[in-house]
Amino acid sequence: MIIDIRDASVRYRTTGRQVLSDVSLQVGPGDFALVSGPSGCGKSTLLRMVNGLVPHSYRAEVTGQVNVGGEPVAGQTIRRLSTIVGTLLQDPHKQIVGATVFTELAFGPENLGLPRAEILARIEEVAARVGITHLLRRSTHELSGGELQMVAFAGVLVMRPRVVVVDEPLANLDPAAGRRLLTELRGFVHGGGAAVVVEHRVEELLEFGPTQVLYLEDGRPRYTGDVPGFLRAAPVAHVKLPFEALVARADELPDVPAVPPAATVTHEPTRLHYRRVTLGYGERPVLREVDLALGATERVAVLGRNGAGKSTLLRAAVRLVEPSTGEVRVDGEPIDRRSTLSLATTFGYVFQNPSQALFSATVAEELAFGPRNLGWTAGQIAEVSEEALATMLLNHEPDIMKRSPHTLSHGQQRRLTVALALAMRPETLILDEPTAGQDLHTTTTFMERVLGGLRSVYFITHDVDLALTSADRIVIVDGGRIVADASPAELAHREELWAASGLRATSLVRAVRDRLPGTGTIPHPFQLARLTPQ
Amino acid sequence: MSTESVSPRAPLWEINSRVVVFAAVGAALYAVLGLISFTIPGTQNVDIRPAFALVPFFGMRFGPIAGFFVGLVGNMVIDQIKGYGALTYWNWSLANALTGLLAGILFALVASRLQKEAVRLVAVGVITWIAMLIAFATTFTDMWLQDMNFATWASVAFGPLLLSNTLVALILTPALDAVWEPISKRIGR
Amino acid sequence: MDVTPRYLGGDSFLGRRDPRVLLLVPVCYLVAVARLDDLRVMLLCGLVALTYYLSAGIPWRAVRANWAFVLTLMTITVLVNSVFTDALQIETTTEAPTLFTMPITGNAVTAATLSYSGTLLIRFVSLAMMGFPVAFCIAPGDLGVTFARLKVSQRLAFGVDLTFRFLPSTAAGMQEIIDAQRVRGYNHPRTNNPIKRLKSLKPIVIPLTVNSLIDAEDTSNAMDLRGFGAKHRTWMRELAFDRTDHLLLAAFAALTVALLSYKIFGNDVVWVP
Ligand SMILES: Nc1ncnc2c1ncn2[C@@H]1O[C@H](COP(=O)(O)OP(=O)(O)OP(=O)(O)O)[C@@H](O)[C@H]1O
Ligand SMILES: Nc1ncnc2c1ncn2[C@@H]1O[C@H](COP(=O)(O)OP(=O)(O)OP(=O)(O)O)[C@@H](O)[C@H]1O
Ligand SMILES: [Mg+2]
Ligand SMILES: [Mg+2]
Repeated sequence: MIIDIRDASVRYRTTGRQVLSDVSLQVGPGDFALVSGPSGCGKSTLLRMVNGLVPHSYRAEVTGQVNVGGEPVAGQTIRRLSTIVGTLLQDPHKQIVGATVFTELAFGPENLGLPRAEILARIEEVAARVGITHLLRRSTHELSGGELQMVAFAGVLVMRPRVVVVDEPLANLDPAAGRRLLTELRGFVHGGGAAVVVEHRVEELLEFGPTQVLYLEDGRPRYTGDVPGFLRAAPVAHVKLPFEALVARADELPDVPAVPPAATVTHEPTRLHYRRVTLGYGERPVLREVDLALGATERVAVLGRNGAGKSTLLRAAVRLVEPSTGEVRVDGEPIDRRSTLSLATTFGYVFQNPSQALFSATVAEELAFGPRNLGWTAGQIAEVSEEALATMLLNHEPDIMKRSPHTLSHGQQRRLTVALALAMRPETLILDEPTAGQDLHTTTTFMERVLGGLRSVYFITHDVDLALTSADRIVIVDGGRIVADASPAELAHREELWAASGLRATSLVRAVRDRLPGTGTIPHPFQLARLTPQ
Repeated sequence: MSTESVSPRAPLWEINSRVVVFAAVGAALYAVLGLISFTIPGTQNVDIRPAFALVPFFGMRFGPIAGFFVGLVGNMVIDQIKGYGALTYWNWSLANALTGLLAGILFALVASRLQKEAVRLVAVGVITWIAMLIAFATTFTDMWLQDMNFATWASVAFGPLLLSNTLVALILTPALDAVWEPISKRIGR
Repeated sequence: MDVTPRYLGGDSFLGRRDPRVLLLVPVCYLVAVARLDDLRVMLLCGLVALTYYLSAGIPWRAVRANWAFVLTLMTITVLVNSVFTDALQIETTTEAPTLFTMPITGNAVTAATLSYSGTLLIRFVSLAMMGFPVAFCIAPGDLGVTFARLKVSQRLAFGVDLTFRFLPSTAAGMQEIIDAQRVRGYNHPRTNNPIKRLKSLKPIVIPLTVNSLIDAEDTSNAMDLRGFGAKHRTWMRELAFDRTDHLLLAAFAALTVALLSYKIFGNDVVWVP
């Protein structure tokens, strides 16, 4: 056994809260363990226990047996553990320490004091294995999210760890990049290593054959065992299972919350109009001559691979990038004639990375920032703040108004950023990957509320199923152009499109293709599963 | 088996990875924000550089070594990016560095024991000011390096700088500390 | 301003030198020209600096803007300190007659003042010329190892590398915060009142610092998790002085010694034509 955890519990001293109780996990060579569970259930804490950050870096109390490499973690230094456990943090940006890819890969072995020739050999071998040889000379700050994730992974592999632990590797990756990473990880396990992966996107992971599953709830193990057992036992509303598993459990599926259908206006006005728009940074165009008109009552999902320019496209709606040629019109008027304030009330904009949108000392100030710019009174501000928090399920958090936004959990922060936009009562909401790194239950509840409360929502996502079920129009961006623009059902039937643009036909896509006609909207997966004969 | 995490404050002069990372982050912040500066109207070459507040802040929060590094490397990078050359005004870089160093030492001696928020913030302001006063007094080397007389040095170099840095440090450093305190408690390392 | 380090002089004479040379030579030069008064000697040093600068092969187009900025500021500084106000203490070869009196400040300007202003300007500009290769001819990622080989603490030396790794992301973070405030209807005010301007920067400085610090917690963990902090660490980049490096260093050391003795034993005063 490389990792041998028995009945371990963890309590963070800063909050005094017990976040893991009686958790056990055994991982040996050739094992591929999947850890899942709702947001805040303690998954990251479990990984920290394995790599020694708990208790060596975080102030925390650990009870029970936690052995790594045959010895108690508490008795080993993090540095020593680093030769046994390789860790891939959720956000690769924070893990990268080298200015170039080569120096990044060299960092770990350099710290181990290995001879130069050996380091060089390891770098070449690992770079070839994970397919980043062509990147070695590039500087890390100009890599795309997907490339960066691969580089970070390679930086872990060159240390030749016996086990790799990975925290939500798929949250920021497009489906194709995610598969590449998981393939490499699987290859590592196959070659005698071992892996522990924390992930919400269970369906994607199942294809890579995890050998065991640990499902946590509130810090307690709720399921430990193999995959078939997990598919039978997993709570359907909280874990996104493959469609076939839903069909098999059709009679226990709960009623689905009804998302109010979008108002169907025959001649709906255009809200956002791109006319032969070219967008880019510096000299380099990202999108070329885009023509696109988004309506004032539509729900539009934007899909595409990492770095395709999805964020760039929608950033132009609030003038965070200016077109180098062409024209963007908002409600029929050229965008540069709109003031910052009028744009801010037309579009509520939610950034891809929640922490980049948070800058105030307390949640209350954060919520008041926008409304104050609009000149609202203190009374009005208090009212909209309350309302926005309630909509985003944040009002039950004790003392939330007085807390610093950065002390909220990752999922809560993301919901807060949506609340910030809602507090300004925008006409249209633009969401950049609203559900990345969230569990299914949170995702469904919060999308349902957002879609129910606003007339139009444009959102970017890597979650194909979310786009299929929540949008009435899907736009796919690839290679600097818009390569598809159609209804969800129609798209699901265009088989060739999926692979070509870095997307992946999930089990739901296949189910839609097999069972529904090529027009109209797509029902909730539960409904579809109930309609499907076993 | 139970593991008590023993993490008393790391010794003042230890250079662990936290110190290195925070020093580097601080220097990068100082360099980027230090490029935003504006001239006080009516004077020729007195720059208000709001980012200066970072130097004593890093010294106090992450130790004298981090403070020294932030001041030295940060200021050199600013000079380098602007084009003066990292070494041309080396004595000013050193003064920046000393501010961070002294602020770190003074804070460790005095203010880390202060429990009350308001008292701590006042101490932060005062320490910043004292550290800066001493550190920038070292730029008297300008008198020798550039053949200035004392009056000139005091009136065109030291005095205005002291004024602008006082302004910056008293407005921004305590504000930074006030915001960082609850967050650092929560992160709890 | 773009803060991403630019590597411009890759294959030039200086680009091929050991980075330690590029760091040590400007230090020698700084010592050599400090307090040098005589315009004629300063001119000679200026020529040395110019040659050094040209051998770095930095393309003019890439640094035009930097030079415009530096020259303007240095000229202003020199003028303010010498011609406009009588800020300098100077000793001259001969008594120099007053050429004219500056209006407003009423400062008497002599040939000696002008000569010394020239010296100052050349000194500053040549120091800047010596500094450019440090910025543009040391490959990114080489700076840390350079310091480590110059006997700076291994960890702090790595901190220098890390600083350059954080520069672009910090600059991007600043833009993100400005963006986030803008999409919520906030325009950064334009005002000339320094205290107001200072306050108006608070919404940038504080959040950027806090966000960077929170990220840094994770980065420092990530470094620990990859074994950072051992006493001994390999640096992949191998540094070795070759003959040219030794010669170049020796030449500048000689220049320094020569000028130091000239300043101490010779009669270095301001030259009046
Ligand atoms: N440094 C810390 N100090 C105190 N409490 C913490 C700390 N880190 C996490 N927690 C708390 O511990 C609990 C578990 O957190 P953890 O990060 O392990 O959850 P998670 O399952 O990884 O969630 P997510 O899916 O949102 O990442 C949460 O309630 C969280 O608020
Ligand atoms: N501020 C910037 N400066 C320079 N280049 C940028 C900037 N932001 C993005 N890019 C580049 O523009 C391209 C498109 O980026 P964009 O963020 O729009 O992609 P995306 O489709 O949103 O990707 P992801 O799914 O990873 O979020 C990428 O190659 C990216 O590296
Ligand atoms: Mg987590
Ligand atoms: Mg994006």
